[in-house]
Amino acid sequence: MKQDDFKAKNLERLLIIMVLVIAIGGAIGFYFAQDKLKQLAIETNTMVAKAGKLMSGSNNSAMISDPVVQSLATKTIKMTYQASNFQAEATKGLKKYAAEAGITINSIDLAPDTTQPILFNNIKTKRLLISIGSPASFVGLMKFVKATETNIPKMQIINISLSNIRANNNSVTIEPLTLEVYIN
Amino acid sequence: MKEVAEDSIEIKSSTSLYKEGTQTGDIGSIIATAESILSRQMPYSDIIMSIGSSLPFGVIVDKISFNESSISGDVEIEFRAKSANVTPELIAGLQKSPMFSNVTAQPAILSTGNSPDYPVLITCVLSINKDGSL
Repeated sequence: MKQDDFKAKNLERLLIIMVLVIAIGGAIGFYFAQDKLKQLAIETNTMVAKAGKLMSGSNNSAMISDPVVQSLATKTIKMTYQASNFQAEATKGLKKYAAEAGITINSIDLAPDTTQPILFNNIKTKRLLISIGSPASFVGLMKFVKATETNIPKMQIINISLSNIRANNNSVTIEPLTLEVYIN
Repeated sequence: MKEVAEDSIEIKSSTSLYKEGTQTGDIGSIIATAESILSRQMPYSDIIMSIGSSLPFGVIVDKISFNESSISGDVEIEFRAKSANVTPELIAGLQKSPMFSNVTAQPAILSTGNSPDYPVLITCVLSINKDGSL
């Protein structure tokens, strides 16, 4: 009986020690996580501030040679297609996404009135008409749309029309999509 | 699902373009270009999924159509329902989503031969809050 008490007390101590270790470990982890978040916030603020200065036109050589600014500029340039081969490159990307999503693309054509106004500086927009086989899988279609939304260079769906959406058999009828790309 | 697809595309030598920018001191306009492109982005996949997740039992989406004016104007969506009684619940479900506002809906009973399982057509008009996307 005495031995049992002894074991229970040992167990109690052990549990207290474990709780203390967990609490201390958690506090240390929280401290480091908070520190990391602070660093991230400072970096983000710096980037936003620099982007703001650039937007206001206050360019100078020091700003231009700044690695943060260089990174921003490089990422921005990647948002657009090259004018000479935008259709082939966009088609390649769209076909890849369709295959991954399990949907069929019947055709990808340049929209008839495809010369859109200049968006900004030398950036123009071009539009593509994409005919997708119907009925299509609703899940697959959403996967395809999501992929176009996250594509680099940027693409934007301009017209999308779905009908006969039936969750029970996961099918949807889709009209041809209009998609916008940006070229320089 | 958040897979950022990196096409192996040859971008007009980003470095050379970047050099052009630096030489003319025009990086500010490059950043402004990014803003002008990003301001046109509309997360249709999130919007459609939000509509789907807002539906009460006994309601299905029949027709959704978005175009350029959807960013700033009203959008009309057609639902089918087993009963017109679900209309208030449908409006409440859509209003709960931060993506939608000014939701109105009008039920209409269709002829029985049209769609026996879902004989009620609910035409819904709402505004899309682009900033409310996930």
